Amino acid sequence: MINELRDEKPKRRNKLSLTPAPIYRCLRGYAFDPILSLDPETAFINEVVFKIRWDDLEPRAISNEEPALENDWRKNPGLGPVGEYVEVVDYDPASNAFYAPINLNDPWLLGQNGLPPSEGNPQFHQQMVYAVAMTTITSFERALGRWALWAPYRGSDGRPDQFVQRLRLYPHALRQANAYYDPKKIAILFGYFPAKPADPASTLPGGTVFTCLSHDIIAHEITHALLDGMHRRFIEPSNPDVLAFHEAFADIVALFQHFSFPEVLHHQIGRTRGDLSSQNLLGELAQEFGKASGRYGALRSAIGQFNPETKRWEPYKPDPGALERTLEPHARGAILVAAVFDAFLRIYSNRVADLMRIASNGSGILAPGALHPDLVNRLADEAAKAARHVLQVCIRALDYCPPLDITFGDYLRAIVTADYDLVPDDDRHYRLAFVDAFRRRGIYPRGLRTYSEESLRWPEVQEPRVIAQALKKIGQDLLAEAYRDTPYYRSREEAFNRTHQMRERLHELIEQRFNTHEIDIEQHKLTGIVLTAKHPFFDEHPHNGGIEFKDGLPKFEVHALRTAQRATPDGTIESDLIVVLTQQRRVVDPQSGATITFRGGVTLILNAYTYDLRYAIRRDITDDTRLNNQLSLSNTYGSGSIADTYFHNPPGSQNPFALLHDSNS
Amino acid sequence: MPEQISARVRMYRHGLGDCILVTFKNDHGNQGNQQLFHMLFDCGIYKITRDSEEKMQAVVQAIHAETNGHLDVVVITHEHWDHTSGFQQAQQLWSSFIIEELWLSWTEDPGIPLSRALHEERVRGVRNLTDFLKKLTPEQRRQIMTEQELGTVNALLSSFGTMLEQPLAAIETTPAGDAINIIKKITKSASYHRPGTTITHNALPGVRFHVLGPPQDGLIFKEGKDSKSGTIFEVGFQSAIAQGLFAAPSLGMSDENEIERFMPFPSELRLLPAQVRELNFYERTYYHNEQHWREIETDWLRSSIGLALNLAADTNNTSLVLAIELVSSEKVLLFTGDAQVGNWLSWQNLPWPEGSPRQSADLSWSNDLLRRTVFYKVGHHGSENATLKDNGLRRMSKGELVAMIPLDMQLATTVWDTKKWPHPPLLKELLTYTGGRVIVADPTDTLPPTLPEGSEYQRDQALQIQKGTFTVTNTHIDCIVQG
Repeated sequence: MINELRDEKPKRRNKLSLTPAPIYRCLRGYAFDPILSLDPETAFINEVVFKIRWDDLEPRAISNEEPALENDWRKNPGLGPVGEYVEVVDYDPASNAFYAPINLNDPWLLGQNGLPPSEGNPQFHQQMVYAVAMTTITSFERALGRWALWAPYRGSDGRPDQFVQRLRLYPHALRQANAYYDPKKIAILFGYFPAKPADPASTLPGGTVFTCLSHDIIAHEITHALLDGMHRRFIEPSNPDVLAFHEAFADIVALFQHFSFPEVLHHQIGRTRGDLSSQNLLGELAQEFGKASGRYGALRSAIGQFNPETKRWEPYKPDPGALERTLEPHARGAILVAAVFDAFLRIYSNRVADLMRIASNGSGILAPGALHPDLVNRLADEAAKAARHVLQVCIRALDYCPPLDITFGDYLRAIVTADYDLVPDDDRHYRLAFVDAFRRRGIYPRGLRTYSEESLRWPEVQEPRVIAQALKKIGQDLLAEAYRDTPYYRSREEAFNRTHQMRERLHELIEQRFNTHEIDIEQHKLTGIVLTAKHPFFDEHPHNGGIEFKDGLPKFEVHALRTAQRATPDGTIESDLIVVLTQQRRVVDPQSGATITFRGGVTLILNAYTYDLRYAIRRDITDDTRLNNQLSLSNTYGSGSIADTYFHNPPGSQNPFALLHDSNS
Repeated sequence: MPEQISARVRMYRHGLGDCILVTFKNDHGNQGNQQLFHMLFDCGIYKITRDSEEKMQAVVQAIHAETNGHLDVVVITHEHWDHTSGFQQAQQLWSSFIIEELWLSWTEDPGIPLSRALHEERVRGVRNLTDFLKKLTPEQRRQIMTEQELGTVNALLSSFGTMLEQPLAAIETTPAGDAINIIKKITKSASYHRPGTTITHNALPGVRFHVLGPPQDGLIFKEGKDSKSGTIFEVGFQSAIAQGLFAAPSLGMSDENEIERFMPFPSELRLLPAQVRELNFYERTYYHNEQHWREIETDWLRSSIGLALNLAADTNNTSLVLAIELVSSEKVLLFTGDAQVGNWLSWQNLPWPEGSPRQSADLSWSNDLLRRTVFYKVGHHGSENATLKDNGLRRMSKGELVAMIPLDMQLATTVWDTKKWPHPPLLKELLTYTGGRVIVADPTDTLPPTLPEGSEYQRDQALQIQKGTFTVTNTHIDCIVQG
């Protein structure tokens, strides 16, 4: 299949050696951020060892040369770290300085799992961003069953999109309390700043806070980059949920990654006596950043917050009205994060209900005092497993989303469908937990009559058969051509370039075979895009409704083509082919006179072996109601930031993925 | 039984800026012995206005004629040029006034350390930002911001009365603050007011002035005590970051010590770009021939735009907010200055005044005042962020409400990089809540040429309603609130 995960075993060094290659490279780092190392209670769990795929770093094998010397980086190409997916470039333009890159292949570092955590050593900062970035990328690839690709580089000279092998990481790029993924540079810029704590005891006033030392901030921004590589249109705020979804998803990945640190998990399970809905580190994000910027606690939390009036931490209560009132992307995203975390808590407590009964002699009430270590171990296992499953289904659901204009309701449907495909028999009631948590926060998909799991699942495609048949034929022809030469790809670059060719071929095939009026009418019902000039849409709309033509046909795009592999609990491997078609209209906003882009399109999910069409998740290009909603969004009272008051294109809109937006801090 | 008082609100049409004269009069008083009570809210005009001095002098002359040069109270809501310039531009004329009292917010009180610190931060912020922008070459400026953005940043700076071309001369204060000092010298007494308090006046027993903002807590400023000195307050997370930013060596704005203080790592760990350029690692990465599009030479400088926004917004948030209650009719007139959302939100937490007969567990004090609000001076010239929706406009007295917007529509749309003044969705909502009784001070028109789509009223309909509510002359607009 296209784009399969690489299954190369690391090679032995040479014929005479019997030593197998290592599987992991171990690197020390902070589980959270440096602030927890100041607190005696959390210091010992804050230092963890990240296990990174060994073969990632260049050079892939250690040379047999002399051990690296102090200045070896001047001639060694494998520094930075620069790997298959990311490159760390430590340039600090504000300080007019570069910081020498770390050599992770230095035996001195190999012998001690990398540098020990340290705020004062920039090379540890490089190691930290690299370790967390790779951890995040790996969990993404595992869930999706394919290589992660970054967004392509779109040069200004009209050249086709170019493959970008490595996301660039700048650990010290900014002197501000912020960090962001820059989709134009395919880079993450981390900032540093002097701390201004509300409570001077919690962090050192005037000390420097580095956002690149926060696990949560790194994981959050890497996830923005991964999501952008997959869904380029999720950057366009065509409804209030789109950017909020980007933020929420990035937080979800960062949060659930906490559960992959066993020491942290054991400690927190013990401290909360197994009740993860009480205040705990696992459910909170960016501790140091929050405190250093004058807050009383973490920057964000999925379960509750400090109330400055009562001076106490209080759990959130689900508020179905909050969604309507909250439009700022981070705050709105927090509602989705809380819903997902709530679902996780439900799943976890279902999984441990029997353990709790055993431990409490059936009463359900645990005896006072510390939990038995064996119980802590078992609870931690269950929590880790539940977190892994929830994160997996959250990531996998990305394949089941519409290609643009996503809403929280769509995401719920994607989660339910993705989980159903993986585990049709929901004996642990995962889906029920999600559905209930979303419902309690007022997240409703559009146009559904009931809120049952069945109706939430994307409907399996029944009609129109003729189009499904035609697509099946197209799929067979396309793949027959594609695999004549190469049955699989050897590198991410090859996957990118070959997929690009296949998308062009698919475009031709669709144009050729969906070219009659009758077929166009039928296929539009399925895909939401129009393919012939005779479509009634063009009679009803002057200037072709803003759709461009090429060679007498409406323009459209084969936006993406990818496969997804999944191993079901009964051990079979399922594989889907995902085809994304999109189309755009350029429409003048009668209020502002500006021209906006309105998009439609479809995510088609086909069985990758039979090419049977399973789901078609569409956004209709002819839907003028949706167009009007998008137009009125910019004309809604109470949605804007202070920057919107003065700027037509607020400066923040160039960095939609900033950790904080200007004037929110 | 308190006497029945009515109020006339007069908004001057001099341009983009606030100058509003409120005159209270006793309706049942003996005709011959009728006492008028004059209260002036702000007196300013936007910096980049043609003939601004002449315009402000004309306004002050008109006030003199109307009040016989006697003002019972002058309120200056906050330190922005478009609210204070007239005190400086017509300084000569002001010296012939008798001003009984000057009311300011607690953030202007030099006796409060936090206020002093806020003030110093503000001045330093404005000066640093101006210096910073001047340091950049035109080429550098182009790289970090568009012409429009630069224009807007300059306009934000000008709200303090300073400009890029005309940087801060005085070290102690901004021109907008200087103008306040002029009035302080003329007035008989200056007082500073805290939220949650109520001011009464012997000459006007039927009226109460409730102070709602600015808040004293962390909604607008983070207040942290320095435990060592005990008295110095740390103000503004933003300003600390700004300090670090402006201490960057390439800007040349700081001395060696200051530069070194904000360096993240000691000098032995730093490699100069010129030293590494030729090295293999950097040739393959940062200085790669085909990777120039990923360079980050100027990205860090863009945060100066955010600083400019925060400086202006933080000052707006220090606006003194007064809810004026006409006791016998229970009606309220609301003057919010340019208070932004954070200021509005803080009113919700104000406790009911002790012993208030209206006290209720279901309603906050501020919401009770909002519920009775029949006049609203629209905050910040009708911008998007200065009128709270829930717990704000939507709480006001629907159907009875009258609103005035001190705005020059032509000028606003040219100086700010947007076409949103007054913010159309806000205007639409105002039209609904006032039943069309909303008016703009613009010197040439009283409503935008086209009303927002979906408004409840046609434009000519709304103009007709205006005629029945307001008295409009070339120089001012009057509106009467009956007691």
